[in-house]
Amino acid sequence: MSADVILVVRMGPRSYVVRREQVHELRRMPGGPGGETVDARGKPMVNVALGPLLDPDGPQNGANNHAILVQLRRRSVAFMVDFIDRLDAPEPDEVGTPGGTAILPLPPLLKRRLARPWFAGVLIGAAGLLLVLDLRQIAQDVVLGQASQEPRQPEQP
Amino acid sequence: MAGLAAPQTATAADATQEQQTSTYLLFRLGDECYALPSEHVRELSRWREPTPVPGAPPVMPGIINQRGLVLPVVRLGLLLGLSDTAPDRTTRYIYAQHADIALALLIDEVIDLVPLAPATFEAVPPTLSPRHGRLFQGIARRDGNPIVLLNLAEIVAALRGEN
Repeated sequence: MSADVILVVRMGPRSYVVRREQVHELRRMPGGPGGETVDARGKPMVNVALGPLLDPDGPQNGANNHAILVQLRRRSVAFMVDFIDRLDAPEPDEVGTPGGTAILPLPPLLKRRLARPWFAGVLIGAAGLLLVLDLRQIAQDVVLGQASQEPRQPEQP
Repeated sequence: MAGLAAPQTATAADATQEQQTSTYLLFRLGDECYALPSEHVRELSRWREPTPVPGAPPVMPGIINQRGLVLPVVRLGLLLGLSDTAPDRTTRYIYAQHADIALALLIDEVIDLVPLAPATFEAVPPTLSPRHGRLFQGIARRDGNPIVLLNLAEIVAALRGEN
């Protein structure tokens, strides 16, 4: 059985982890985050910088020229990041071994107090702790947030 | 005879109760001395930068890895309403455990591990706000100086947002 592939994404000084299974496509987008474009299906695509979205008060000095595309039913979301790297998650029997990596749940005490349910766990790696993003949940919230800002069509009688 | 013997027995029992001690970890937050029952203390370590978690409350700003366990860092001073201090060479984490909840409590300095007699603890001053007062179990004295005894169960409840 092959191990899950996980991606390490970097925004400024902060790094996070994304499960490859949640990602539809990786793309270079030198233009950075912009307005809404169209995805490969011809459906609307929202471009959003992931760093400021996660941590508006954090350091924001990235290039944001790589995109992680998450496909939802009616539209796609392109999350802009500085850098994407690939990491092969360990087989279950390797988890917790010295020098290996392991994904653990967030401490429940902290998880219930978070402003948004955007983190699926924590990866313990050689370089330290990395938060695992629930990119589908974030994409859904981005689309919902954008929908709430769009002008409403007048209701039909 | 029995009527005379009873007070003596009670006095002896009181004295024994006062002599019964439990071990407490003393530590400093700002200028004040606090204590936690040692049964809740798993380990101590030097301060290191926690991994920040965006959207976390200021009192629990991040997480650390301690021997393969991911623990929330708790700014205990902030929770108790004290002014914040920058970490320095004496800053420590107390790895504390209450039931199934493990925490890394951020404190300014570890002082000592000492025996204290719970029977001698004074009540928490009623002038304290209920919000902070419930986090304290009582006041002990050591060389005349007050030691504030923390109630870890109430601290966990406060972190859960239950009070």
